[in-house]
Amino acid sequence: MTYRIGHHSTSDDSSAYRSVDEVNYWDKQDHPISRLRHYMTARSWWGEDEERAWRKQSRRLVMEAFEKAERRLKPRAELLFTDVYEEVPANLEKQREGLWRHLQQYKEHYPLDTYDK
Amino acid sequence: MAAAARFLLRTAGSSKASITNVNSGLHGKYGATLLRVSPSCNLLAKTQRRYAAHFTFQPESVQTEYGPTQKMNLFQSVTSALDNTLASDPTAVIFGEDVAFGGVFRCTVGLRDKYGKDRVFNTPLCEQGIVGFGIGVAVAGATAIAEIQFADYIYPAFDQIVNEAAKYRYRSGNLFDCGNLTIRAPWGCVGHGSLYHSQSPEAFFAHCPGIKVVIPRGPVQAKGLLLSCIADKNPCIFFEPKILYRAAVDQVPVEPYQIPLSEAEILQEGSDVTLVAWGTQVHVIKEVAAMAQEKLGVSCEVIDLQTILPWDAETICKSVVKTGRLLVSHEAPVTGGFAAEISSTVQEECFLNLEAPIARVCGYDTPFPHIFEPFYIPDKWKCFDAVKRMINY
Repeated sequence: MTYRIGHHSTSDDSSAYRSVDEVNYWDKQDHPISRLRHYMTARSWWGEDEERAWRKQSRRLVMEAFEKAERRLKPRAELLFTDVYEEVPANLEKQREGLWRHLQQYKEHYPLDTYDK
Repeated sequence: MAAAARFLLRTAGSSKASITNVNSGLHGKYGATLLRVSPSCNLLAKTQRRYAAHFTFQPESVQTEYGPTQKMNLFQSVTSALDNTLASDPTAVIFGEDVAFGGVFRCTVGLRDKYGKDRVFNTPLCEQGIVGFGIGVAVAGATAIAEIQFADYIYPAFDQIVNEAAKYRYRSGNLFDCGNLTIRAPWGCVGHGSLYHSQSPEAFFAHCPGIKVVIPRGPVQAKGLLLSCIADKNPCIFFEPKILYRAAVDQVPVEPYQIPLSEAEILQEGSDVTLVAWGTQVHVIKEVAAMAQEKLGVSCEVIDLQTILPWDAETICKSVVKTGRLLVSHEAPVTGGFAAEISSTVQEECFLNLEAPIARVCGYDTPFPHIFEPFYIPDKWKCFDAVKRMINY
């Protein structure tokens, strides 16, 4: 069982189909992660300071991962045609060559600089 | 699953617009507490805004023959058509995943409140069930308007459409039919839809005698063609270009009106090359026609096919007899795409008129890719290049 606390997407308003009270209940009262934290805190296995430090570190890790991934080039365009089948059949090979020729001639109209060569 | 994979329409400005809507609405005060924009969302939105749309929508000239008009985008013109239908036809019902609260693209906003939950209602996440139910409703004599949340998720309903809906009249010797059934589904590429929110499955259904397949290019056509589908006495599939839901805005007549099915529309007359497309791609070839005129001095005739099945071969062939050259373009993969059917028919009918091989500028024979979308789509440069090659043939 999972429950989504946030909206489905930036264009979704989930309050149109579920009550905000329901969301708040799962978010504030019966959130399994919070319950585990309370349990651990009650037994002095975990505390405010550890929580703060851990959150800070986790946030940094995630942001660094994003930043690192964002700096990477996207895979080279011809990989568009691989993995459709185990092998690249003749029709796809022909289409791959067609795209390559097209990109040679019209390269200024495609975001090639963000893709691997 | 369809509703679970609900889609983000994040084309330039649209997400902002929808958030504004959310916050200004009844639920505004909860917006801030609920909306958790994670870093990933921000990054994603930033990456996706980097490229402009691959087409430019030019509004239709204002038509006054159907009375007063209102500024509507494509989803509002669909709502308007559905509103007209629910108002005039007491048997009309609308159903599908999430349609009761307005649908993920907001095409049915306000209709449940206006016409009641017996006439606009949600279904379980089961496309086969949605269409099967729709067939039953239609056979019983009511007007059934089913929504499949994305054309990409219409395949679970394929059997119901192809084996039941399409054959109902034929197999009963016209004793029964489900002609009152209309199936709507968002369709086509959107810039970041990836494998399961970008497909154009019209060719699968074009191979299925007994149904009609219709695709509008903008708000004015969406309303007129949808009302024709609903009124038509055959089961119809109506594919709505989802990238145009917000991006395309026309002055649309408020009153109901119909645009005839199975009639292509010549948008621009020309003498050298015939360009044929439907849906979003019409806007691409319109731009290609302008580029061909400006850069090559080539005059293009631009045709919106509008109905894929049964299609208007006469208009296309007459045009090719005049121009001697034909380019057909669609987003779906080239192999077995509907361009192949058009190409084959034109070759049969206009063989001696052709000055160059018929060009198909289409998607590649791959699944619809995510980050490779800029390379996959049959954009204006690929179409322009094909026009150039036809002229120099």
